[in-house]
Amino acid sequence: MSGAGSAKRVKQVVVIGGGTAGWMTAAGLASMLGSTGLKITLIESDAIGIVGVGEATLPHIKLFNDTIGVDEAEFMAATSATFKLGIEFVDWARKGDSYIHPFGEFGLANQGVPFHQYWSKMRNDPDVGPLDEYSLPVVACRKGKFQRPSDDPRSVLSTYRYAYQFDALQYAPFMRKHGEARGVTRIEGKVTGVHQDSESGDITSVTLEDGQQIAGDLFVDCTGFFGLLIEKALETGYESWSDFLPCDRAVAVPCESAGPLLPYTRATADKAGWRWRIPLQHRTGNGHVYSSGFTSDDAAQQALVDNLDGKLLADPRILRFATGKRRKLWNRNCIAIGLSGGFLEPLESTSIYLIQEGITKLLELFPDTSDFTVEAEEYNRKMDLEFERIRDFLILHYHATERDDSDFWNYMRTMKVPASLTEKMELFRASGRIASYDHGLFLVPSWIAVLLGQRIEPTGYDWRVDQLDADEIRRHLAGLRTHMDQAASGMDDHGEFLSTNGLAMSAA
Amino acid sequence: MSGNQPFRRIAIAGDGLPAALAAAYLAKACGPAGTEVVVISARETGQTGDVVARPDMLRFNAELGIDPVTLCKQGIASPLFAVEVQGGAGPVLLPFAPAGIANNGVDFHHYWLRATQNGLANQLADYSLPLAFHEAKRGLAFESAASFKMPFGLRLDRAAYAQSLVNAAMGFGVLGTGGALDGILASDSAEWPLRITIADSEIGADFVVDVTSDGAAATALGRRQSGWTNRCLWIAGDCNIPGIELFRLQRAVSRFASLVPTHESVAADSAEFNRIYFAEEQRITDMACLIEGDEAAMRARPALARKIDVFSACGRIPSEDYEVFQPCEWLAALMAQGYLPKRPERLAERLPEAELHTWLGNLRTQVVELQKQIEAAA
Repeated sequence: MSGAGSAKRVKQVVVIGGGTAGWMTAAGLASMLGSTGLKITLIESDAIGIVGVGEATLPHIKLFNDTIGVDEAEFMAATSATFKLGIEFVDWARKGDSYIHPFGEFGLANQGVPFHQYWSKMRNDPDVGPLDEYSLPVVACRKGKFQRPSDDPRSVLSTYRYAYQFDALQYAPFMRKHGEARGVTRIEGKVTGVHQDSESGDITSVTLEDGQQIAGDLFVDCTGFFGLLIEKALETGYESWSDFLPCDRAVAVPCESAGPLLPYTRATADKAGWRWRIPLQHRTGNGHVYSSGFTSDDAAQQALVDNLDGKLLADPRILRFATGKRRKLWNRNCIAIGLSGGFLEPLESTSIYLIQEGITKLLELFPDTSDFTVEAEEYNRKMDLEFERIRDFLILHYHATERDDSDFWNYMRTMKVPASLTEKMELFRASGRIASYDHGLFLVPSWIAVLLGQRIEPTGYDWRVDQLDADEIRRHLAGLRTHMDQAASGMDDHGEFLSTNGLAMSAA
Repeated sequence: MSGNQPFRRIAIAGDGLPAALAAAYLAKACGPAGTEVVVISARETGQTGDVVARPDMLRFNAELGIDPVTLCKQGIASPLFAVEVQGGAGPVLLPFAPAGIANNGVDFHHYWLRATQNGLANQLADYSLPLAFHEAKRGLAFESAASFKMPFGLRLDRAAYAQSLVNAAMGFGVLGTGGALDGILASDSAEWPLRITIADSEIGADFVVDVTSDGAAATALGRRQSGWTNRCLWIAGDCNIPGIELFRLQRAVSRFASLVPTHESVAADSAEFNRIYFAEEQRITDMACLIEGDEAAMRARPALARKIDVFSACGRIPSEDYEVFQPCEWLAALMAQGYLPKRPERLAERLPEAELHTWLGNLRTQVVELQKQIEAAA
């Protein structure tokens, strides 16, 4: 039992790598701990390109931005950002299907019974319609509308949140400006050597190409898939999840915008993976995530180009990745944040969320220099849980499908999945209930959206629903659907909202 | 039976307060669907003394139409801000609300710890409004307690509260059999899946909820541990931490009522019930073990060992899925066992030193003033 007052302070954090993860980490640490005497140095090389993950995000990013003092209008203009109310999934359970995973609720609970249970009982009634029509963010997405949510919990306009779609290549420079204004020291250079303490194995310093030696108490590896510190130096090891999520490549290309500016990201299932479409203010981001075991690079690239809805703006570039995570995201005095820590395909826009969680948990558990063991174990436990629960959610999209039109889909449909996911699917199939947890990213509405969207239909429903007369439920549903429709119709057109609220990208 | 056909009859095996609570809630929840709730009990336990309702029991009671204001006015109940548990090294006070207030997302105890490292002599409890109220010579009226917007529970006269529940149960149409449980058998009969023997007679039931202290019905059906198996739910409430007996009952019956009472009940439902039921049981056992203070026993429980280690290292208290106790209760129990963080959270250093001391001084003054006001009130 330790007494208080023995702490040895961390004075210097060195971040290696200056992409999205690196600058988010540096800016986050500087904003939150700079006033406590913490010095942050970021080393990056202009000669090394960045992957630029996470054009599409989740609502949590707003909290991160707000916490570190980012001005929304400035951020959106600088990164050509648009608003995002959900993710549309096309062709996933069957070709021709479309559903939206919204950032908000479905309907309103009644007497402790979730809304979807009432809908579930009545869903075969021709007047009832799909569950989507009872979610305001979904209805708004379908109409191309946007409005910031209301703070009034009595309003239906309070039942959703929003995220952003932005140019990841502009986001890192924006965060750099934010970080440098809060004291982050940037060093241009390429790391050529990593030095470790001979006894503890902790990293003591790195050497740059020009001979400079940069020492630190704590090192954050943001070097992407390369994992310069966490893997090349510390040999931490990698846990592959490619059996569950066999997609291992992505080809990305921007194209000119076409059609109205939609407030959602689209993920369209293809023969050996899926294609993304992310509408930004100045262009549309596109990509094709695929499994090299089931299709070739050329075929994947062709499938992407064939489905663009605007003129190509650059040459396609291919990324290779292995789905999984480091065995320890925090090893010795090194924390891997971003792609150096692990990779889950961007199907649910989780890349930046995982960076954000890494930073938040590091801030919460920020150590002293005497011994990192306990903090590191707790950090790793929490991050492992985040990764694993997101992994299960991603697998659900692939596994719960009726598609049998390619070897890829036959593999995904018939593969063995984690027991935790099987139990969740069985419970929902039996009674429409969701096995929820206190920890983990995706909450009940997200699971409902994807389970139903993937055509897992409950055979039963909550018995308490029967305590209301069917006509009464029908009337309630009709009223709510009309209310949602009217509320969404009253919102602004998404593109107009951006231009009339000072959020349009800088003229430069 | 098909579709969402509700159970015709649920039997409650047990007596006293547990049986009354289970019967009242299930009859209220399932009665409108046509389910009859029957209590099989002849023995009066004659249990007296107090029973504690944790803060979340207030809403549960409201669902049953039991008004805490009335109970307090009748002298049956009084607001409670903390419970005292007898531990291995003496009594431990677990408050229902934290000391001080969080600041910029950082829990108060980090600021307190930082100040103590710079010479502050006050104890954490000196900033605790719930502990000040708990130790005040006069209790608070319900309305006064509610005015502080702080979670609080109730200390209840066991027999009188049980009678309130019996009254509620009768209002919801609960029946008594007037005889003790002599035997229970699972039956293949199409009429009733359970046959229950009571003295010289026999009744059928679709499901039995066993709240007896020894699991009389469940063990007769071959069960060896509490939880939900097939057509029997055995709720075990044994725990020396005040408030946990009612917490376990309340959570179990309300979760059961939301999951079952139909013949469509499937293995997935009971698995889901048990998953949460046993997770909560683990959290309760962790707390009981910490309060008891046996080092070896604590080390044998990974989630508890983690709480101790992380708290000792940096003052944070890791949470698991389905926590039962609030972080402030864990904090009190950890500190009562002598654990103290070696340093506060670094984020707590963002508050300038002078502001920290002014703020702590103001908080302490407010706590003292409020305690005086309570003691002065008639």
